[in-house]
Amino acid sequence: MTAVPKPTVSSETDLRTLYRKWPDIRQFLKGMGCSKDEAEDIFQEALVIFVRKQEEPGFVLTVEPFFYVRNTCKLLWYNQSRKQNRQQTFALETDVAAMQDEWFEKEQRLRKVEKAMQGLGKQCRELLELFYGAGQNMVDIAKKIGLRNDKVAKAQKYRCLQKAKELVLNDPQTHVEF
Amino acid sequence: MLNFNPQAMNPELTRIIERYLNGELSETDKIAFEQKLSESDALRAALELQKTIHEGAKRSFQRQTVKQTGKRYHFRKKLIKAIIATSIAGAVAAAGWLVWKNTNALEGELSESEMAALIQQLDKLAPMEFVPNEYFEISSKDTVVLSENGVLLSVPEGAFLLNGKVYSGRKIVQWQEAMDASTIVKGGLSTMSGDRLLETQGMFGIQAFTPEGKKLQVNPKVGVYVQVPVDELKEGMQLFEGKPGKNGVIDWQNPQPLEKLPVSADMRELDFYPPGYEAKLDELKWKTGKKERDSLYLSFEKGVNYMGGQQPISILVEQSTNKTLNVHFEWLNSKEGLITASVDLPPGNYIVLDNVGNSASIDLEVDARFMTMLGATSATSAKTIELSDGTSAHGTNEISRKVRVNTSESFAVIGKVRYQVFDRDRVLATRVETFSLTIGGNLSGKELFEIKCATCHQPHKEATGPKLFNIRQTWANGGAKPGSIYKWVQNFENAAKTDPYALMVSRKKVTDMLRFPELQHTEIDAIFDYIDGISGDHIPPSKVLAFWNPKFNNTILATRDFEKRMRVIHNTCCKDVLEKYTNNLNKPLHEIDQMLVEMGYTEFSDFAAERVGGIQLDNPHMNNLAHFYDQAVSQLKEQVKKDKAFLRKLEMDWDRKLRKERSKETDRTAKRDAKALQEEYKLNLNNVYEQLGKPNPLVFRQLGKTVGFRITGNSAIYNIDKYVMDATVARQSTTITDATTGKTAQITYNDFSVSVDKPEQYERLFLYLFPKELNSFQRIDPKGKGVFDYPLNNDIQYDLAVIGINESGYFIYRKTGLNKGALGTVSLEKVSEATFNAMIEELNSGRNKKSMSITNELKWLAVEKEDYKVQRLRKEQATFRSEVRSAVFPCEEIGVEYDATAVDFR
Repeated sequence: MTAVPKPTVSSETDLRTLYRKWPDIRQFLKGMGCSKDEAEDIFQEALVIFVRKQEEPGFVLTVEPFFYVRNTCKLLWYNQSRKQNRQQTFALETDVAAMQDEWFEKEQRLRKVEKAMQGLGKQCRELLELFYGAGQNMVDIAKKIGLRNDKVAKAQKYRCLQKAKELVLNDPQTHVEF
Repeated sequence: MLNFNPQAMNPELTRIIERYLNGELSETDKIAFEQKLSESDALRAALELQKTIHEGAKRSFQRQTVKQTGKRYHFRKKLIKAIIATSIAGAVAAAGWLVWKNTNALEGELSESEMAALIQQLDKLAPMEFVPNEYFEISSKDTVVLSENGVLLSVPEGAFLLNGKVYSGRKIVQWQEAMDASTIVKGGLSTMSGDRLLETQGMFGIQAFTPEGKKLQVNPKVGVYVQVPVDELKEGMQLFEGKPGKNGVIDWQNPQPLEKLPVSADMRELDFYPPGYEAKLDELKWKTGKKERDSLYLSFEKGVNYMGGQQPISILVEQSTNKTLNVHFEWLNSKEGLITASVDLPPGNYIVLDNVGNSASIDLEVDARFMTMLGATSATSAKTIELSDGTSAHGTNEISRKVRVNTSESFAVIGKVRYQVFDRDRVLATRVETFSLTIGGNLSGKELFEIKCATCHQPHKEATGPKLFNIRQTWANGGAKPGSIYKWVQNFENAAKTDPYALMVSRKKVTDMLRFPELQHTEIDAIFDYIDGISGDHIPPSKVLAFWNPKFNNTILATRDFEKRMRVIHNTCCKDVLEKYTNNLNKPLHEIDQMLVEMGYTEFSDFAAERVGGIQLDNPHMNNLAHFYDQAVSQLKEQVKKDKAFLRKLEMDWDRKLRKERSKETDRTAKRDAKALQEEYKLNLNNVYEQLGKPNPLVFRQLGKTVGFRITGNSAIYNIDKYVMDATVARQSTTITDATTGKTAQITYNDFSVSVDKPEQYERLFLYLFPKELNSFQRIDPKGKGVFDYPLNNDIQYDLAVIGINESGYFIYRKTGLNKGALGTVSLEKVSEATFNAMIEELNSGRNKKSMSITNELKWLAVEKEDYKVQRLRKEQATFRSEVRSAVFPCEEIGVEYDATAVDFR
């Protein structure tokens, strides 16, 4: 079984520390014409990217986490506002533009998949998250989401996967790529 | 669906791929699977899809972690905000701390994930499904919190019930707000009440839970106050209750009129001064400290008895059997006083004082608990000056007795004044007059009014005497001289002599005004203050300062809303208006506003329309505050009394000193003038006799010799005397012819004049003459502005000094050895007090060996000089106060200063 690394305590602490910078980020994004609601989505996405980037083998952080997250936010907002055909009032620095590598592109595709999967029922989504995200075993998962036992949970997992496939393949944002 | 791969949707395939990915396939199956994989693009795509879904699920999990961190962050942020909001609102001072403490406790009790789980659970229970939730943790105490959109929630103690009983533990309040159109539309909220469409200014959801997640009910008796920020308060806005209807559409029912929550603030941040008070002080560059400004404001308190405090000062002379007697009591220090009886005697009558006190005495009948007599009666004044022509100069005849006052209560003294009067021929029978005094601890303006004035006067109605309301103002407006009204009260005839306005008043009524010489001007002010105060035409400073105290935090008075009202209250100048608020702390502000509108104060109708509510107070708290308020008012009044009594004492001490010096000076001057006249007369007479070749009878008399001479015809010695006397008094050159011998004698007076340069810069100018041939010196007043014109005796050599004094010091011009001339305009030289004294002493003593002492004269001059400063300061103070006063009491007419200090009673 390929163990999915559980978010470490340190990464949780990191997240909390980073989240305290939210007012700065909001101000930062606001300065580039980003609304408050959009800004928090972008900030959270940047945090997801940060967490995931840290799990990449061989990744070494060369800047402060805060600057990494802030640059990511800028890149994300740059992409998003371009897509929305908004007037760009700012340009990307070279180092920020360079962040848009293959891995980053893949992450953006995954984001779409993730979004498509929000169409799953709550139980399904939790089950898959706990199994693939938190790496919990079926016995615990069954208990947590209120299923009779691990066998039922396992069967349910297949059904959920099947459903997820359907969603992803039928989503106009994602199906093109599969 | 270009790349749609039917294989991918095969459930069996999903299972196999899953097992492959999880490493659950046997070695052979695995090899077979990988073989197929290398052959089939479709299978590879299916595998890739499944892997992507795994990643997607993981990513979704990671996003949840991020989101929960976010929720946790916002939750904590709310708590901090709540603390800030609490301290801004200044609700319970300790509340901020309590909330903070709870945040910490929270971390101890509920872990990150437990909290997240609780919030997740509560999210599901939110009444408006698509509207974001906010959470506040609230302790058991009264708490005020601020939501994301600035909605203020005030959650009083006991606002929630658990299973019908008041819940006092910690609670999590869930709050939803949909205030803008986009949130309302996104939230799928309807704005329908039945079939009617509502115009909304926001929709809100509020629920509360225990930390365990049990739902709490709102306690209908207490309620939760919600204050919503709106750009404008639309008329007729009401609060609707939402009832979830079919299809999730909410129907809004049961409308209630809205009440605004008053905006609380700390007393220290609020401003209740009369509008313009601070601006005026800033303009005058007065001290900026709140303490100083409070105490200045308080000093304008009207109608308090200035003489109160520990020192009983008031005095009433109720009766004396004879109008020639005036009895008067004066404090020497905090315990001892002087009872003085002064007797008006007809000219020619006097009291002989032998300094043993046999011929005059004051006897008192008084309980020793109240007063003890110190020593015997002393007759310090009563100086009747006998002039050489046998007339007596008028002097005041005063007998006084020192007493010690042993109480601060008021008490009565019955006294007898016994004195014996003489005239030139005989000793009259001893006269005994009785009087009664009330030496009162706290005779207020009210008491004084009732005892002294009420028989003839009423505050607002014409009676035997005119109405007294605002009488000082009436006089000032009528053009009366400053201070004239006080003179009037003491003796109206004196006032009428010096002030045309008073003369006019004296002709108005048939009945004469009684005389009250015993009333001090502060007492007169106390009476007028009382009269002006009873109409309630002002807001007493004590009533404002009494509630302007942190004790009144968390009441309707400690609100920005009341602050706004206070400005209007000051302008009504009616303390009843203020009392409506201070007496109704438990009522919503708008109810009080409405009461005032009904009383006719329509300026409060805008306030009433705002519908600002109240602040809940439990009754014991309110009773405490009411009690505190009353106490504070009387304490503040007490404070004013003390302050004023202190200042008054300083003033009185100075005035007494000045009076003493002046009365001594009057005596001295009379004596000196008499002596100077006498001496000059003798000199002239000697001279005349010498010229006539006759012996001077006065010299013989003095030497005790007897000489006989003939009297022929009409020539009589007294004729010569009389001529000489007339010439001396008139200072005119005179030729006297002896009818018998035909010889003539000449008395010559030369013109002499001197004028002072820039006389306006001196408060006083005197010419001092030091005649070499006489012992006395002479002080001459200027005739016009800085001009002295005084004939000098040709037979005398004079030294002279022209002196000027003003607040800044002494100025002098000296000249020696002359008896005539026009000195023209001279300028005075500024000298120090010591130099000045030395110069004058030198002029005085250098001329002859028996020169009259000038030391007391110099002492008097020093006091007069000092008095200019005192009077100037008093005047400045009065001007300052009258300027500020117009801001403190906006309804009073401007430019009238009632403060006794404004008036100089010379």
